[in-house]
Amino acid sequence: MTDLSVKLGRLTLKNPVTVASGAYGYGAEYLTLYAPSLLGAVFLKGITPKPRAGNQPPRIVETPAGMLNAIGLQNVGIEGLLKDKLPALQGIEGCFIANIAGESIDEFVQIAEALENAPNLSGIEVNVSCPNVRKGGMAFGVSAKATEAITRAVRKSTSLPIIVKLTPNVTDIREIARAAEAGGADAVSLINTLLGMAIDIEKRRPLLGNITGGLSGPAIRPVAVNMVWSVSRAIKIPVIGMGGVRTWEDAIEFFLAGASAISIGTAVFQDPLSPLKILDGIQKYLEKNSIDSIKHLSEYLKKD
Amino acid sequence: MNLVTTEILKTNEVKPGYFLHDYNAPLMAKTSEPGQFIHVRVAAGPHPILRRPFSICSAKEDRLQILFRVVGEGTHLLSKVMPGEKIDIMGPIGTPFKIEHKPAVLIAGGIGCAPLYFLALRMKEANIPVRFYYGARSVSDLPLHEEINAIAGELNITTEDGSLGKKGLITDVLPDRLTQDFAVYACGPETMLHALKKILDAQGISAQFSLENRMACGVGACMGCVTRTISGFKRVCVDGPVFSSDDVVI
Repeated sequence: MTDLSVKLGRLTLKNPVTVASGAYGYGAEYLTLYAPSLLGAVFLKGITPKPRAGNQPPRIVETPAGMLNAIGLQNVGIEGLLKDKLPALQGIEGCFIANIAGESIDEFVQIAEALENAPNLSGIEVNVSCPNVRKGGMAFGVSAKATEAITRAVRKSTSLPIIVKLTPNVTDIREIARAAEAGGADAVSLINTLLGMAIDIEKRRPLLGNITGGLSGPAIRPVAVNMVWSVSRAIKIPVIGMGGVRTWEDAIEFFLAGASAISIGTAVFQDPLSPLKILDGIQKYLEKNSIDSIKHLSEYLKKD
Repeated sequence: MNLVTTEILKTNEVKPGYFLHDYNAPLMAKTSEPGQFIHVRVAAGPHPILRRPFSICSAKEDRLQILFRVVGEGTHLLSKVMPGEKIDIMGPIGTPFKIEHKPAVLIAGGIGCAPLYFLALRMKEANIPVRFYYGARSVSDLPLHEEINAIAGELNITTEDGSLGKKGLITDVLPDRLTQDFAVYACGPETMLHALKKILDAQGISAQFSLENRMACGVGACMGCVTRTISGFKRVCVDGPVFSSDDVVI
């Protein structure tokens, strides 16, 4: 029997396949297709203290083997999450993780505290990496000092496991990962999207209402694999790898690079069933190669 | 909403660059309503990564039909698939037209005829009189005008180059008074809906507009396809694609 369970600090997932924040709404949007309990975890849409309208459209542009998005954290706010979205998940089994985004340390603390006794929540992902908002977001995630301070503050205000989501738009992502570790994170997740831009050459205008956006999808996978590889050897806490995972082969690459779990985002749009197909492929790969636990995959590149 | 990999029954290039596709989709066909769409996967590999949303053009027995125009990479790929091949489709999705039981005025611009053709079919079954207004750049951009002519009580055509019907824009030939006695339904380019909204607003009546937008998830999860409304950004995929003309900000 292959062991697919993974430990992310105090959080245990039944399997290492998760869906990324922003791609899966508030956990109920894909319910008619399959049960979220089949997944290791579902990262819910990023939440701010107050509801946010988000950015001016157009918000998405397709790019070579990927897409740019500039949603701008449109969300229902903490109250909407607690009053509508989490109750809608009542009775639905699954490991649901909230993603929180503040414009200040106080706001992060405020959301974390509000979620303390929220039903149906297994953890908190601290979003210091959104590239599409003016205040907060990536502005924190490019600073090791701010990342550590926010992580520490959230750590103190919740008993839930916390995962810090990192931006790739930095000089050395290992520094930021070390700061999250020092601040008390149970795990880190990376990479959020790469800052990008696309221009309409006929109208001679940016294609996104926000001008710039975040690049995701298969196009960014090699960048993500490299960052997962370098971060996983710089810190002791587990890494959730993401960035262009579309097939089970892609997922295996991330585990070999050092990821304990993986997250699927853009590929869910192409095939909502891809998380289940990827999980199945991982299982078959492990069986075929007589590897009895997913945890062993990260050992292969250790010596390099 | 269902997600199925199914067989392409028929493909037909009805006008250069305009394709009708028939898919074998019994469950979807049974539950589809005019105004709803299906989200179609266009590539097996990593590019193009996004599905493409298409209005359902008709749904009968086991068949679900879409109409599309080749405008870019995704629709080009889709135009190359052949009957007998498999296709991955998700749907039906979205808020459909609300069919009112009074004489209908349907206003279509170009490819916007697709959901209105489906609507006219359903209205014919319900014995609702239909006046169809259909405009495009040229006769080659009026892919379903013969089919529409066969079912609508009245069909008025305009083309910008005068190659069929009256020369001009469809919004120039609408009845002088679109009164409350009619229910108005429209789908077309933003410029057409903009002009139409002005006319409607001036007369103090509202219509149902079917909007389009680029989409990622197609299920209301990603917030990528929002449009401006008087009550803020709304998702075209599930809050629409059909909106009241009073609500949309065009």
